Amino acid sequence: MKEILFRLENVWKTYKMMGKGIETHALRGVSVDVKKGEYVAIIGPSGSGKSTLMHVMGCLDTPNKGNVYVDGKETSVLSEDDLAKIRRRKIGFVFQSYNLIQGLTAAENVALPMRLDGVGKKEAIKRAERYLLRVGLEHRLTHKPNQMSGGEQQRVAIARSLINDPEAILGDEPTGNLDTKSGLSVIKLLEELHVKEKKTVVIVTHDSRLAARADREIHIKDGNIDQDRTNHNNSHSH
Amino acid sequence: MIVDMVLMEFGRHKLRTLLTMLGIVIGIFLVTSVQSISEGVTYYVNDQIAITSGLVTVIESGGGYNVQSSEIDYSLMGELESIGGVDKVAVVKFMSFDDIGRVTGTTPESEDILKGVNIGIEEGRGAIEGAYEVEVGYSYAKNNGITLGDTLKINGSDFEVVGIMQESGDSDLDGSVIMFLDVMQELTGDYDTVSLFMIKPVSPADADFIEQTINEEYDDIQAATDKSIQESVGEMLSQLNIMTFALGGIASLISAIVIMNVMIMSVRERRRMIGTIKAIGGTDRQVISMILLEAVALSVMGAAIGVVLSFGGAAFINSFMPRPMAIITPRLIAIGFLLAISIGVISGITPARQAAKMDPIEALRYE
Repeated sequence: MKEILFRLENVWKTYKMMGKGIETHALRGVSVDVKKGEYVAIIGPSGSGKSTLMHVMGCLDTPNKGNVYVDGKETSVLSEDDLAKIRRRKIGFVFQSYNLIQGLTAAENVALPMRLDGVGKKEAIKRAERYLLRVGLEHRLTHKPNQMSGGEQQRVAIARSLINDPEAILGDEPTGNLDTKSGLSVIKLLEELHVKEKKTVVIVTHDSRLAARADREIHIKDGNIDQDRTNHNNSHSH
Repeated sequence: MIVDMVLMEFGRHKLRTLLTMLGIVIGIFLVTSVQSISEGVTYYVNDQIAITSGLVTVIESGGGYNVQSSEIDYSLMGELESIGGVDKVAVVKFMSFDDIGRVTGTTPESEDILKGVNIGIEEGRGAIEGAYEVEVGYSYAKNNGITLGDTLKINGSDFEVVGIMQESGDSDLDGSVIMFLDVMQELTGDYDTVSLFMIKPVSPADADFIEQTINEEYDDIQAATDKSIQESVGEMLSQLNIMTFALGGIASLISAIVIMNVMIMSVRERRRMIGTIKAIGGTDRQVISMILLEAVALSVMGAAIGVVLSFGGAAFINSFMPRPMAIITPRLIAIGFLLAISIGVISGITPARQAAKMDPIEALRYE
């Protein structure tokens, strides 16, 4: 049996609205395991709590109740610094709006997580260039984000998520801002990383055709898991 | 990683960076320029005192301690000699001639008193009383390329340079021509006034008594020991220092508020960037140091500009002075930069904390 990378046990996440006593429950007692090397799509309508689920999984957000384990470690006992370290080393995030830093070049953006990890600029940039080559952007090394197309920016973001060689890539609507063609190429890139480099890939989407490409679909509705099913016949599976 | 990110931020907002720094530029410029007077006066006084060490100096009342413009009655000399505790009284007269600049007139007695304070002949010999001979100060010779045997035309008469003095450390003396008082009197026709008396007490302990006696009994002249000169100059400077302190305090406060305000706004503007940095694994401490460094860099750059401008400020002040009074010392520059660093830290800490406290999800949601 494969090792479990993310384990959520009865996780609740509640948001208070402006302190007026009105509470909204984004997650209502969710329990789920994601194993190493899995390719999972979290799907649901907007406001269902699917993004919150991914944020909690990726230590971007902390639950009000319940436990989260990353690679066997209980996260509620970890310090802010330790959580930052998990985000830096074990997880690579890809966001809907890319979130590249505007003043930095593609290579500098990709190098950033490595530099936050204490690696010198020269070495980090060298490694960043390798990863940009890996995502097919060797001709964009010194371009700034605003000089690149959306698809290219998202590839830079993927290269950035890879630079510290994480266990998992978490994508929050990674194709949401892209046209069909570049969206598909971004998804194919993530699938390639899953197959060739055995990365755990978790993407949040509201697009059922995208979700159907994953090995496993977790359907979220009103803060709870509505359906959790395995797709057996996907061509990229192995 | 932090330094180049900060510089990138400045590069992206050049005008804003410049305007934010303006407060600190003006503040440091004002403080350093004003304080340069204090530095210069302290330096000048210490330099004067070195040469009159242990002596009681008597000059004209009023007019501060400007020995160059002091005029006192030569005939008082006899009376001063009869005060208890007085060993010797010597006289010095300063004049300025259009053709050669400052001339110090001395007598054998005054040279004798000053001999104790490192004034000797470096080259040649001492002038002879009554002869049209001069000695020149160390820096006067150096700056004007004067060598032994040269002839100087002073007020229409020729004088031979017979001696070059050792460097005394006193810039007035080093920068002047020295001649005997009798020749100077003959040259100018003024036999009645001199600039100052130097009184050598029998023992150093008598200096205070001599000073007190003269100040009580005479209205036209004032006496001072080097200690009391230092004290009264210190008093005068302390008022200047209070002014600088007030000026510096207000300027620092305003600059700190301006920087803090701009930084708070720019942190809000950059929520997404800060959120991204946290999401991809930046720690709170890394975010804090990035914003803090930005604030410190802003104020230090401002201080650097302010210090450069203050050299102009000091030159401007000096253009109104008979001699350079304002000096920008390394100490002053160091104080300016230390002040700037503390302003940077104080104004940066709040925005830095706010940035670190930002929830990465909130920050990422913000578009």
